Amino acid sequence: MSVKSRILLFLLSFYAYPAIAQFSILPVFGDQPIVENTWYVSTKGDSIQFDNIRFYLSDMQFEMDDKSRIKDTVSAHLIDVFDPATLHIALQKIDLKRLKMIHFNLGIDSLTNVSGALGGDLDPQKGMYWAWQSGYINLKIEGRSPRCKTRKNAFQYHIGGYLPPFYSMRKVELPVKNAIVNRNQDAIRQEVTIAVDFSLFFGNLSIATQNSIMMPGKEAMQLADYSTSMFSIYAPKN
Amino acid sequence: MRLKIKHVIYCLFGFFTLITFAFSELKTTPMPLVIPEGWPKPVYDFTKNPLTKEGFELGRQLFYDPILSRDSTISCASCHLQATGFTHVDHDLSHGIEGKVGTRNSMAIMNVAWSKNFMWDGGINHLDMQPLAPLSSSVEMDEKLEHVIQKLSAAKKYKTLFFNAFNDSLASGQKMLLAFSQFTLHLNSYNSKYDKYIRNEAGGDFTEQEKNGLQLFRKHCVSCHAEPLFTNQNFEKNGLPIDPTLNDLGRFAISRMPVDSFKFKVPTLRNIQFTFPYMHDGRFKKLREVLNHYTETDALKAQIILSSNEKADIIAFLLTLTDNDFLFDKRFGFPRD
Repeated sequence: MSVKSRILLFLLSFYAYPAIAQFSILPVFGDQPIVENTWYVSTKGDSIQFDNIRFYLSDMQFEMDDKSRIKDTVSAHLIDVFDPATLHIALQKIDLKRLKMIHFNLGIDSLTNVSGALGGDLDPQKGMYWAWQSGYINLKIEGRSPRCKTRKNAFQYHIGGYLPPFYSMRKVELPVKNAIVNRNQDAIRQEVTIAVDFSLFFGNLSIATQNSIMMPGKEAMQLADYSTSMFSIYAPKN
Repeated sequence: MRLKIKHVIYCLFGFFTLITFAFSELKTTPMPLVIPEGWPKPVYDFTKNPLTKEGFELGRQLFYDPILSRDSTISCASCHLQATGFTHVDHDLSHGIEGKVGTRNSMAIMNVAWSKNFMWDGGINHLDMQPLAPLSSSVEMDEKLEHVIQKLSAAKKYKTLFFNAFNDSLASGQKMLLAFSQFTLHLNSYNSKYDKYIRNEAGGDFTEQEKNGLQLFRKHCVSCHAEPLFTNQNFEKNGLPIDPTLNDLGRFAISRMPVDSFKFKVPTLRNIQFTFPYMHDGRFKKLREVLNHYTETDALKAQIILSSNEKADIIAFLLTLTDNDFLFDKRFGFPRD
């Protein structure tokens, strides 16, 4: 960050926002939240533990009740399931009562993939970039399962690729119903929570045979297809 | 009351002074790329990375610094020496950390602003991203970008260099990669005897043999090694039999299309006198061997037929692509403070 923008931020911090719309990501496995060193059982009966789950949400757009769209000012957010700071995205004023649909890409589009060295969450130092073959990794899931007859029972999915026919970015659209917008009582902060259910990903997979997918190709395309089903608007059960 | 007004005035004065300082940026010195007359438009988008003297200097320091490798033994210059056209001379396969040997011959670095992609298989899609490959390869520098950034951020020397170049002393992956491009973009070779011949300049007088060599070159070689860059930037199959100890399928590894099997990037021929050995696996030591391959193979679209004298003429022409201004330009050399 340049000196200029730091000073600007410092000055801006004196102004209070009227209401901050916040989007939270809730990583779950079925009805359990995902935490480290915890075993989960997939619908296929596989025991699974996670070490690292990270993915890009990019080009977020908020469709309002009059069909107008508000675009996120940040082009891409790197979500790290085990880094709580990344699970909350604060946005400019959006009236959540009028929000009808959230659009985003799971992963990074092809134009960004050929745009050279970028900063922020897109900086290659974030570890979501392939070195031997240029391109962003859209989704990384790493962990262990006794079902994987690999070293340390490890499985690794690095899903990416921007060149056709293996363009692995996926568009996701989530309809928001008024009833399930989760509003805080104090009305200072309004929240929508996006649940990401990894049990749906692993319900499609046979991890005994598919446990190391780390380059663009057919298999990555298939996993990318499975991954979109994980996203939904979270409806609190109270 | 008086005192209060004075206070307010002082406070306001202080505030505005602070603001002025905050918004004043360190001046960088523009250092635009020289684009030789008659050359095509560069591929690189300079609007996203305007070239400056300070950015070039940072890139140059990084290029020659083994801090990039895991054990601080290997710098970019280990495999890319200026005097040999920024490539690893006399090794068929280049070697990196702990003497580990790679699978390909290092490529020469020159005129990269005109390159659409990089590496023998074109796996790198942008000049900015190129340094990531050797940096993380287990047989080259075997490092992690994140760790390199930590090391650079801790080094006093780099704090100053990053601040001078980017008005921010904190290193980042993006800034490091942009600085690398700033340096390598300037590694341009356009002052060979051939260039002077084309431009009708002093020092560009071709002998009869060199003229004949150029004619033969334009007849047989130029479809792939197109002037003035001496590469058409494409991937081609040149008929080399596969080396069973490497089983390198070239472009196929990236595109996954069977039609790309055994295709490799057409390299530039500039400074070829010094960039031996030749081919992606460095299998030929001499230019004569390369020409012999091309006249013997039946894998080309049109058979190349050359007499022994004609081969000698072509080689005489290829030697006119040597650019001593480039090979000995002090700006590109090891930074001696």
